[in-house]
Amino acid sequence: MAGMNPLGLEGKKLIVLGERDGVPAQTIEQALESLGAEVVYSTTQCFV
Amino acid sequence: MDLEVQGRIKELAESLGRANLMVVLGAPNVDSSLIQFETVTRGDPTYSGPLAGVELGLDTYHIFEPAMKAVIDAEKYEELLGTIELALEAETIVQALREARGAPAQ
Repeated sequence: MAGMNPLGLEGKKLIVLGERDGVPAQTIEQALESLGAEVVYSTTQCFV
Repeated sequence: MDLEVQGRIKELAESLGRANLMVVLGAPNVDSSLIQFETVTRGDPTYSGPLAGVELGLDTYHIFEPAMKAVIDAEKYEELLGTIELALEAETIVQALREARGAPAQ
């Protein structure tokens, strides 16, 4: 919820480290959009 | 963690300031979650990348952690992450990160 923000994401700059076999960065970004944080770096890593 | 990724994170911490940065992880298991957590908080544990010996101390959360879930709309969380969370060792990851921060084991 936008009004309930105990982590204080508002104004934060986010580094999103997704993983192909876990949660991809794009999914994390979608989940966190509209919470007032700006994604400054986002990557989906792949470890085989 | 990829050396290029480490280098980028180091640059961002220097240019934007550590206090404003937050790292969100999507790692699939305990090992990779802990390595990434360590790398962006206490420095690269493998001593092979740009963050070796660099304690950035960044605020870091896995997307499965309760603190993150609390800020994401429940319906949206379920839609985007519900299935992935069930398929991975989510609870173990959450517990491992709690312990890595110094909280007592449950």
